[in-house]
Amino acid sequence: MTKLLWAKYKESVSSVFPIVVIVALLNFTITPMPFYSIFLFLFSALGLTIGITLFNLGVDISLMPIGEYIGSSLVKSKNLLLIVLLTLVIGAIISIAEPDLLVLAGQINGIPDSVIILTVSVGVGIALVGAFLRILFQIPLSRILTGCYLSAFALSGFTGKSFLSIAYESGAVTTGPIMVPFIMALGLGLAAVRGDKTTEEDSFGLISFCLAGPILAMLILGLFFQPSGGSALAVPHLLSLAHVFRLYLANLPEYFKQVAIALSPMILLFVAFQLSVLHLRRKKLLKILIGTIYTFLGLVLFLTSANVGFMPAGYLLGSLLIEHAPSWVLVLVGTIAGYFVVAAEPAVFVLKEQVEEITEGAIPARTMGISLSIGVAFSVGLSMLRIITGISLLYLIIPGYTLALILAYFVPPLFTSIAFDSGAVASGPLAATFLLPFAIGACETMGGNIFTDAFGIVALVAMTPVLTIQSFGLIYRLKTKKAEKESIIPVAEDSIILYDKKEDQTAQS
Amino acid sequence: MEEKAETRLEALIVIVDASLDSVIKDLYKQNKLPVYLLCHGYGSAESEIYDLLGFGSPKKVVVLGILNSALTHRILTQLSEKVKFEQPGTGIAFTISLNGVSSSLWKLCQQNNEHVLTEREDPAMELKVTYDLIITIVNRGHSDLVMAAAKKAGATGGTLLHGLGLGSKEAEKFLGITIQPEKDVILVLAPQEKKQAIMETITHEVGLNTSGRGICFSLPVNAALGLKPQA
Repeated sequence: MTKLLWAKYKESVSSVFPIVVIVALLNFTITPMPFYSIFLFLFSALGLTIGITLFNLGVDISLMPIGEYIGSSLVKSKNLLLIVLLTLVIGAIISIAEPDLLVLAGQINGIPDSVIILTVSVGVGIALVGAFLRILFQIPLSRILTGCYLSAFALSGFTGKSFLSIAYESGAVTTGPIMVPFIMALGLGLAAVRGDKTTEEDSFGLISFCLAGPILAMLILGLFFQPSGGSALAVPHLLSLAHVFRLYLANLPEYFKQVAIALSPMILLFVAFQLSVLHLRRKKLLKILIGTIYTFLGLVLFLTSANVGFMPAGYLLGSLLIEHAPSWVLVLVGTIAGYFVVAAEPAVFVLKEQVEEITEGAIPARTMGISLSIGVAFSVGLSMLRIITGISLLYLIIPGYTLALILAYFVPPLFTSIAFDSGAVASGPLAATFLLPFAIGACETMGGNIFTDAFGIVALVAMTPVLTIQSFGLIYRLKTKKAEKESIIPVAEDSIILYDKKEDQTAQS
Repeated sequence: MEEKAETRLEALIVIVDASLDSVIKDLYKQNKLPVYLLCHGYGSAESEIYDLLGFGSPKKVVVLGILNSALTHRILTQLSEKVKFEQPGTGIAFTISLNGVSSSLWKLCQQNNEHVLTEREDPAMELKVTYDLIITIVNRGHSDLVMAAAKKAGATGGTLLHGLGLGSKEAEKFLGITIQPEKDVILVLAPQEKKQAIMETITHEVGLNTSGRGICFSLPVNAALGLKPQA
């Protein structure tokens, strides 16, 4: 047991470690930070690793099975109205509960938090219904996504400039640590009861809807609202070690509450399903309960550490880099940080494993991880360029998604589903709590407009993995075509050879 | 007669920890095995407490390869060199003889192995104990009961695979998709003298009359690796 626990812990340490090294290196060279700030960051990094370990352990035995059970019993009910209503509710309550969304809403001044959260959750709810109906009526994912993104591009023309980045950001941010594993499991559960041709590709793709839904909803909201004021971020002034611990501990109860709120709708949903259709045995329930406790503690530790330690560190780093170094250093640091940040996202572990499992090893988890990292590195680098030059997000988003959508008509559908899902997965809580503040810090010090220039970084982080996985799909397609040509089937006429008539070696011993 | 026996085909089934899948794949590639399939399964937990705490059911890969019986010995030897089967919990490997194959499969296996066939090796590994593979199919969610029953009757471990029932009565269409009942398949390798007891316990505890609706059957196994020497 300790061996397994240690292995899981090592996995999360190795994913957080590079970020710590980057920050520490910068601290000793270009951007010296106050001692206690760096201490808080290191302390949070420790909390983060423990949090990721517990979360990964818990998700496997609680959130995932719950999602799978609910997904398969939904389909088994074979009641279309019930399916539509329940998916709408599930989509909405999960986004209300998503901790990342709370963080984003808090960072935007000028629009009431509740309006943003409500808009996004309605967007997700409708999107999830669409995703389920798409599977039931067997409409190709590529066609629907093309429709979604084309209408998003069209709406972008009418939405206020400063609202644009936030709208694209909201989709990427909503798909956070609770929603991703749960919705993915829902998809797997749906796939588990099916035996048709498209089962595999259909088990992915749900998340991609949950990313596009809020974008559309927020773009519509943007027709009526304008954000105002600066960012709501503040860097705490730390004076002593005791102060550091006190700050950390003072924030814990807040996240205890937040995570409890985030998890409760899912638990209630599960209880309702358990009482009505599932009737799982006591031992399974106990296992899920223990898993939920792991998930709960893991998320509390993770979010506290990310928000208390990583957010100010990112902000400070961004602004100090602009002050002390030429602007190309910002791009370089952003690129390197992007490469490593995605590896630490807890939901990325879930995605990599599920992809490996469903493709039966054709896309190994390691390859997938590296390609995600390269994609994200590229996008963070681009975002830093955007802060320096101030070019519109649309110049990157429109060509990017257009290319991804064109590729969708050439690569195997399974890759398209995984690609659009992985975008949502890569833009997890670390992107929202480390990269976004990093961009905001840099942007504010440059004197730019954070709403147009800094926001949008998470949206770009969500876009590039789509492209990398799609190109993976293209390579895979070319490879299999070549392999097909090479393999020669030796006989044209197939007969059956029987061994059992002859007396042979089986009776040997 | 001798000639015929030499070109016989066998199914080699290797069940190892999921982290070792590339080792198996590389080995098969080196030996130019023409046909092998891979699927994912779950091992049985060491104890109930571990299972409850979430450390149960380690991930496994199940690799099914079809190969010439003349190759079996060589591959099994190479396997035992690369994978530490003697460590408990690492995995198992065993072969089952096939008694009917399509001729194209036979030729495929023949084609790639011609060079090996000339070097005659000792017949498959000598087994002190004969083993049988017990396969149980139950409704999804009852696999732990099967494992518990098998362990009670003396089995040391098992592997769980997920499957779908294809009984025409149960498969239903709903709009564009087919809904099929989910099943669990449990593989247990056991010494022959324990086989009957294990199968009896399983049918008694999760048989057709229970909610598990379990059925089980067994297959003879030729050679096996990775099993603890039976006391």
